[in-house]
Amino acid sequence: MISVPLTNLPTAQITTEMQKLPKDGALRLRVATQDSSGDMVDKLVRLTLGAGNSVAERLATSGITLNQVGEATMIQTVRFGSEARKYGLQPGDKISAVVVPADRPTPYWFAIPALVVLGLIVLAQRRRRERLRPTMLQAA
Amino acid sequence: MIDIGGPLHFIVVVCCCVLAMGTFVAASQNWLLTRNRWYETVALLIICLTLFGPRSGST
Repeated sequence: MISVPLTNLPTAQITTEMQKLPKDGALRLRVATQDSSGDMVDKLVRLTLGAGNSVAERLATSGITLNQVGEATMIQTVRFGSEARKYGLQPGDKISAVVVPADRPTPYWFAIPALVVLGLIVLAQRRRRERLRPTMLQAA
Repeated sequence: MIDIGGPLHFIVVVCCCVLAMGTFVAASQNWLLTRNRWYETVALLIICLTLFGPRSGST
């Protein structure tokens, strides 16, 4: 019953995943980077991917360029004042995974049984209120 | 808003949240249309959490 909302994909699929995203879609990357005190941290960032003709152009709208070093995908440059900069990404950070929404049924299905039970409670209380009304009037 | 897919998604989210708030009030005041039975209060709290629940990513 329980299914995860997001799944990790290998960085080799970054291009194909980015091509699937609409304009201003969310590109989630898991990045190994350093925090402000210099400790290595694993970070999940959500970049907004603007319009562009190529994958590189679209990545540039959020402020980064990528570099493939053997198997690893690294961040090559981070533009000043960009979204990526704001999230503390730095040149040389290694991207460990592309995170995409998992293929799962929409969680809003759970609202339906909840609404049904709510409806039953309303019906039960309405019936009870009708039954109580005469006695309440007498009391008043 | 983050990860709201479109107008329909927005309406669903808002309606669910308003209903959830309503059920929370009904549970905490022990009164929906008339005084709650104890099991109705429990059910209302569960409904409240269920309607608030499904936030993350369906885009």
